[in-house]
Amino acid sequence: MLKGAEIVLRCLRAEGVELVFGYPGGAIMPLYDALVGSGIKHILTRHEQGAVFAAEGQARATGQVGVAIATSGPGATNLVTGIADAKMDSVPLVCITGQVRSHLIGSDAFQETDVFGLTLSLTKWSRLVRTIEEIPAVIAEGFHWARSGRPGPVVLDIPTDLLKAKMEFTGRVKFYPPVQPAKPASDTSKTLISLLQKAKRPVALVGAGAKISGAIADLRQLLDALNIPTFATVHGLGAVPPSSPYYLGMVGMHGTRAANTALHETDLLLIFGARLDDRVTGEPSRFAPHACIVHFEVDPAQLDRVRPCELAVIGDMAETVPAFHEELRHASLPDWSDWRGLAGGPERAELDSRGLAQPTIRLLDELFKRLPENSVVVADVGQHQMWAAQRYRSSSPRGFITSGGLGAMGFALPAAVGVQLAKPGATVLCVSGDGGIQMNIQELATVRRLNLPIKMIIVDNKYLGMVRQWQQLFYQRNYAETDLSDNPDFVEIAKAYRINALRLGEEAMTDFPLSSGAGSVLDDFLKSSEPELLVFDCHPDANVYPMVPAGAALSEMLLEEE
Amino acid sequence: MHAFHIRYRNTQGTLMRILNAASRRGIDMPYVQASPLSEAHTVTLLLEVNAKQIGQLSRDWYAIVDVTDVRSDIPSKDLAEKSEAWAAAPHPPSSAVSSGSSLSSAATA
Repeated sequence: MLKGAEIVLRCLRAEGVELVFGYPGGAIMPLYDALVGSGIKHILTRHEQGAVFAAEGQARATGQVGVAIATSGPGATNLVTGIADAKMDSVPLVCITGQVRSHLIGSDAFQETDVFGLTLSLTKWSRLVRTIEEIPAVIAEGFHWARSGRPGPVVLDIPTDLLKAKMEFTGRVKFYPPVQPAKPASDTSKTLISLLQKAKRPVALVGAGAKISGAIADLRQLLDALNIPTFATVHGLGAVPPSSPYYLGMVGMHGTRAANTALHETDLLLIFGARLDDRVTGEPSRFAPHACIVHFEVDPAQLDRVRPCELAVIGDMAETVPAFHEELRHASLPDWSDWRGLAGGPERAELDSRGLAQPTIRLLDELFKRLPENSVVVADVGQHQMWAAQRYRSSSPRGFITSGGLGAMGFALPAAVGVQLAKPGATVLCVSGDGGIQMNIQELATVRRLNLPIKMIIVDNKYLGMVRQWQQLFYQRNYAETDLSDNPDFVEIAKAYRINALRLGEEAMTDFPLSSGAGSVLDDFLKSSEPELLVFDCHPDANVYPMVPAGAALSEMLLEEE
Repeated sequence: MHAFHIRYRNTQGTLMRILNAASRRGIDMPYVQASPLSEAHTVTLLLEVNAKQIGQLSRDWYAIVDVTDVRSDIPSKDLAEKSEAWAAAPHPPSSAVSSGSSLSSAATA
């Protein structure tokens, strides 16, 4: 006879789980009681939001299902932001929450919340477990839905009495989905080739779907064959090697001038696994106004959200991309070299020399060029996130991790914990702002306890910088409640957590080439085997450009301060 | 007004997910009827939606794990008349007052 808690842990092991993140509390205590000797390593974060973001970090870095555990009531509600984040960014995540005893459910018992109801609209699938016998099947089905198709978050809410109850357990239950994913129509390849043959200005937009489906190698081969101007969403960064001659960088609100202009001008837009967030499209009614749209997508729910597509290629890109490429080998395509030359030409360079000299951009450039190829950059949310995305130059498909769809400040530090644990040999660079870091700064304790050699940057402009930028540009410089000039001394905070920390001023990044002193600081920072924190003093007025104002078309980007 | 007929396996939360796809868009639901139909269940919704919303809703419903079929059509006259009967009802419901004592005794039983 095994307790429900022991069965949960055995089922997790059967699903390949070795690492979970969580925070104990009353209703989930039986599960924690069973953890010792279960073969599962538990990482104690200092807040449930830290746990769920760390689980997301692990999942985003590996493609495996991340697992977060919390107790009922406030423990469960603290997971909600991470669950929403996983839904937006298609992250495979299973959250296990303790619930009050079965007979108390609905009585507003101590630490009772309806986490099942609370997360219905945020989860891909969820269950409130009602009997101990259900546990194996619910876990098997939950993991299936978390990782299949368009991955997403799953919540399993288990009353504490079921975790303590006992039953005979004979082994893992396998789940067989009742519905098979639809196969792509066989004639889509021929139709697409016909569209390509008529196109004068084709482009390709690459999103996260390519890396989630494991189709990176196939997609790169296809893009090489197409040789058309190509750009990526923030989650598509790394899917296309930046050295590719046809690659124009990131697209969208803070995308490159070349990418946004080409997207506005194109007459044939091939979308590979992107859901067309409004940060990518600009004003939807003026998005790619001349384009015929072809959408490779695993989730039909993502089609036509902004504009109807002329051709949908539904299915796993690991199947649809090579199938199309095979058909393409037998077709002749037009010569698009003039279009390619125009789209990637020098007059559409992404930033002028003044922009590249901006000290925070210099800092990121200097750090990024020092990073080994297997590094992972984890960015928080705000100006530093967009600078990092603009300057990211790796061809590692899972090398740039950020909260893209939800834009959840406080994501980066705990996510970096998950990434570093999933990739212990990799250099993990965590880039935060002074606002975001304070939303989960308690996870410095987790970093210290585990001695994770994460390299943490705080770009400290003493403002909520992105909001301040919008206030400057669109709210007549009415800087309402964005001043953080009374920030604590982050170096001293890090030291209180017994983490090495130093501060660099902007003047360290003004010399061309970089002074040997500043270069040595960055070298030592990255080579340390310890966790390190670098606070970079950024001028409060520094803005992110290019920028497409909200409600504007991609062609209406602001290139610099007016 | 459009009528939507959605077949689903009646698992935990599936009906709520179906309804949420409409409510999250601020769409009123003047008529909702859910009923068992052989091995599956069907819910019929009458919604005032535009063409874009029809597509979005249908795709959202298909993305729900236990939804098996989505169809839409013009509502029958009978359904349309039923939907017009939808009107503001008092709160708390009158039944809460009239049967209050029996509810209390049921709760403490």
